[in-house]
Amino acid sequence: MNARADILLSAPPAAAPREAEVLVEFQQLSRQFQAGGRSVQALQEVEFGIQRGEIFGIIGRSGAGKSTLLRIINRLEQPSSGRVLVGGRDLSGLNEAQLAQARRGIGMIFQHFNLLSSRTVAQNIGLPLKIAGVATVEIEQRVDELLRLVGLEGKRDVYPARLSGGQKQRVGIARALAHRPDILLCDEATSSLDPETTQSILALLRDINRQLNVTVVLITHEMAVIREICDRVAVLEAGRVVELGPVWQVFGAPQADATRALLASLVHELPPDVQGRIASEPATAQSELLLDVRLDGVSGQDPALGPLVAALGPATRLLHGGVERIQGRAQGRLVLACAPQSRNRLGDLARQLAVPVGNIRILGYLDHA
Amino acid sequence: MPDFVDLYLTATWQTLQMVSVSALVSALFGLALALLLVTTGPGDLYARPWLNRGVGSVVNVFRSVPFIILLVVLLPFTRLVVGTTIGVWAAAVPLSVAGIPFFARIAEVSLREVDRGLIEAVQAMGGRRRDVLWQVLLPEALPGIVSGLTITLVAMIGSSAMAGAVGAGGLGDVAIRYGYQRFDTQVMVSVLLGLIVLVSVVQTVGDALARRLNHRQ
Repeated sequence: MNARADILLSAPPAAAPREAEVLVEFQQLSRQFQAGGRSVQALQEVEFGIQRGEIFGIIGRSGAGKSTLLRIINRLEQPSSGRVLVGGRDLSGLNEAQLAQARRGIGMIFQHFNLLSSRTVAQNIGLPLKIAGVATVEIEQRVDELLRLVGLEGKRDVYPARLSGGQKQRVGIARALAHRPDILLCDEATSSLDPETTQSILALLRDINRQLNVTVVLITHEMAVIREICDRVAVLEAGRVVELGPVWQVFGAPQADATRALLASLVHELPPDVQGRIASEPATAQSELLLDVRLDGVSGQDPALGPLVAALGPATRLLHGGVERIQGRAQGRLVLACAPQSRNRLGDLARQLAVPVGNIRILGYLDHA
Repeated sequence: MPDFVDLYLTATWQTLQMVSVSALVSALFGLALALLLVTTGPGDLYARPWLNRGVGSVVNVFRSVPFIILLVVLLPFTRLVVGTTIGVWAAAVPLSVAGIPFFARIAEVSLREVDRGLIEAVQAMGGRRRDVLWQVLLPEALPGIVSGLTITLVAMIGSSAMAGAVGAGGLGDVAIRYGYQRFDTQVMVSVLLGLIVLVSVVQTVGDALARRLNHRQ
């Protein structure tokens, strides 16, 4: 564990503001593969930093390069050009023993858990320590601590084949934390778990991040995972970072097409019964104006209903939509039906809801059958 | 009749000696060879592609030569190693030389079946290459290696009959000399029964051990 300190405490001096301390830094990072005589560009000029203490998400479709990017942090993959600094230190050019030592400061968990079938839960968790030459008594003690941390006290001497997916990932997490790392890399850690188990594993990761101050870097193709626990997110598309920022911002106002495509899974489309009744012109005097309001959370204010009704009139109806809180900001979409003359009051509505007027879109007019 | 009992017991003991010594040698060298084959290929832990190809070719050569030919071709080598070309120890040399590449290929398959994700996991936790070898490859492949050793042992019991040709004795030798050449059906049947019991015991023990070591279910 002293060795870990050697590696990762070569961080910037304490004078730097704490929240700005960059723990992992990619500098002009590129990676090519040779596949079937053809050169594939897996990563292109990736340049950003991951701050100490945050939960950083990297999202992209399969083949976008996220797995390669994650593995370059602990050198399971080598960059073709550019640098990666971990705790201010470049891990390239280390010999086998030095690299092994450095990796003890970086835990990693996997989609398929990668537990050794020939070892019990306790032996799996203790393996990183055993490999590092830690005394048996000390290993036993640490394993007990870790079992408590992940809530598997009763499974100490069970073989992994007897565990559920969620339990296996808990063993994976305990094993990754054996050396008290500063960073935890999560490679699609919840992708083979059911939604309920996913929630519990994400909650555990959040606790570890908060309580042990472990910086978490996770890759996923599921926006829901990012929304659930990440502080910041980078969107990767064809090896490039196309968008990066706080999660609420990227979700609320996605700039890149790739981000919008990934977000589509979370967006509530118009229900068919409403869709079928939309006309571009009011057909009768009873036709209602159909508005689509996108709440981006930028203002940090929750949408108030009183002013909304005041702006649009008492006949306003809420047809569809949903609001979620991401990092404490209300985000979502509302589809409203209101009197056609409210058309002229959209600016007022935008002001009341504290969103830019561009976030309010007229979908058309709703006919009554 | 006491003569025959004596002959039978001696022959059984000779077979056990030949097979156990050869199996031990094959297990050790065969496993080492298998590790060499799975770790030196291109992109492997200790990538030495030329060595890998060379060793692979040598293994193939020894695997292609029929045992009865190998027995004769190896005579000078046998004399060099054990100082004689007849007897139990002389038979153990060709049996081992045939057993090493045979077991190496079987063990190689088990080692290759170890999930690459496990290797990655141990590297990520700060394991060196020797840790990958000792903590992942060998323990994870162990049930398969034990099954492979069982197959090797059974094949070796069969080959040991031919070793009788170099005056090593053994159950197979008795079956050929007394049962076949002298048309003694009683000897033939009792020797065959002995071999069946031997093979069954080896297979049953091997299977039980492999099952015990396998924690995948």
